[in-house]
Amino acid sequence: MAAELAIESRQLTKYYGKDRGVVDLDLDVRRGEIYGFVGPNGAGKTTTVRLLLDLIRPTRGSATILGMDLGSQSKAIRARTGFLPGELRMYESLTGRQLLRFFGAVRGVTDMTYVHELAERLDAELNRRIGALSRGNKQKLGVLQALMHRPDLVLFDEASSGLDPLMQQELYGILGEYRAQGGTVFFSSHYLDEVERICDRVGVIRDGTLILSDTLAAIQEKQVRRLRLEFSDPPPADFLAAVPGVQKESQQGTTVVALVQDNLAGTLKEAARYTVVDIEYQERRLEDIFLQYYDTREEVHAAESSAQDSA
Amino acid sequence: MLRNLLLKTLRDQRIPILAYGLGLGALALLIVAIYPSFAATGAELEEAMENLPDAYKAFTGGVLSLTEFDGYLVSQYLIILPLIIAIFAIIEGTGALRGEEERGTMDTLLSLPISRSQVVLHKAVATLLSIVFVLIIVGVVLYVSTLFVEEATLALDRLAVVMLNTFGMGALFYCFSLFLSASLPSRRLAGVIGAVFTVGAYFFDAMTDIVEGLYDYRFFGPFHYFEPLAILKEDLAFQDPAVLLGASLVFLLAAALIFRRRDIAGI
Repeated sequence: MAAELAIESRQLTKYYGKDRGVVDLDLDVRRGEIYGFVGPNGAGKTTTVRLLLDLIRPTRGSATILGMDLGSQSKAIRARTGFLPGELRMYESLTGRQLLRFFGAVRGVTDMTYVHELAERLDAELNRRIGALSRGNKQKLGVLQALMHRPDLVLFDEASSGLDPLMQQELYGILGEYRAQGGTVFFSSHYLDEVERICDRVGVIRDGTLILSDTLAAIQEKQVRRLRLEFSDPPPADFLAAVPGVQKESQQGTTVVALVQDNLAGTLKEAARYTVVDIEYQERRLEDIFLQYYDTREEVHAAESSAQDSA
Repeated sequence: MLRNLLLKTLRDQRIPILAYGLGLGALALLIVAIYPSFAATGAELEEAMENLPDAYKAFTGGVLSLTEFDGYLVSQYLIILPLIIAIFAIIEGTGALRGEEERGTMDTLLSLPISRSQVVLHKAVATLLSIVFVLIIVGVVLYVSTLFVEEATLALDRLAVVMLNTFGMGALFYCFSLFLSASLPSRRLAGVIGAVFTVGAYFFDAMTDIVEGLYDYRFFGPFHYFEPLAILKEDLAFQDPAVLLGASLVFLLAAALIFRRRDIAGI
């Protein structure tokens, strides 16, 4: 199993003094997938990426990258990985071309054809000093340096920030091709729509803890969806009360909004007893799931805290 | 010039190398050029020197005669040369690690297949080479300028050993700054401590000559191992540069060890 995993961490924990970074992180990122790593600011996304790059050392726990131990084989791992940080800073006195030549030399890249192909696709500016480039153009350079050596794994931390929508599309295309060729992407982001669009599996981190990790489809399947029904006449007040797996959120006149967990058929059957004039079924968007999960967890936390207080 | 980190660092330092080399070279040229007017004052100057307080003499390299070219050159130029090289060394030393972390470029650099020890080593070797280049420019200008001033004579081998001794001082200040850069949480703090150490070391050495109680501790100051006047007038001694380079190596290894183990600061 381990050989199939590009990233495997066990109880990976980082504290900055007394401040929490991440706690007991058990990550399993499979080879050849794009793994979305989502969470709000301060949740621990960047700490995780920096741990996986060996920029910071864990307080406890371990990790293997591409089957190699992070603690003892860091240099060999970095030869086969690429990295694009969220706040990309590069040597401003160099031109983009010089930077790529330098990085290429250190990485042992002798054939720059692939880099030039990528540069053309991203319309990257290579002849100006990096200090004079816009954030978007710097980010394009970041993408180039991360992929120039055709790594087995790339870690992107807010990779598409600064890119215009057209370039974002191009980046998604490049990452899709990269995955098709067997590459693995660890894609940390708080832009849920892009995670939903390109990622095969998603991990959700909250307060330094991985609270969810699964395929997007499986996550969506588990989630509650909102169903809005419009009737010709107001249904009775106890409408849907006897249907399991559904909860009525509101009823105003002829409009009923219900939260459907896993019994859409039963809900529709009950609704069909009346004259339905319109149905609106909420798409299962990652953003809604994310927010819902967070809200739910907040409630659970509050309930747990309250129970502990009263105990 | 961008084939590895060492060459890239050298490339980054090419303007400072030229600026320091040409600036210090121009100063050397001026000092040598005006020497004949000093020498011409002869006995009057010697008498004035005799009457100077010991403290002043201690701060000018223990020079007793300004009418001799060796003493003149040491007191007017060679004694301050390590202090000026130290400015370059501290700026580069503190910027090498903590400075690069504060600029945010260290994360990307360390995502390359290069170990942290290699980062320290490449940067250190590049900067030490830069100091060598600066001192070569200074040495060449000094030597050539004396060829055009009849009263000024300078033996090439002795000048080379003085430059080696100066390099030892530069290496020590650089490696100490690199050690501070690896150990302290900010570049500014490392720079302040590096500057205080350098100036303090200069004063400490001077004070050991005039404060009786400090004399026994003179071995702890780096300027104790910088004696250009002795090299120009007496033996060609290599022990002093060896001590300075040995101490530099200790600080370099300590910097690499600390940098290997600690977290890289994010931005």
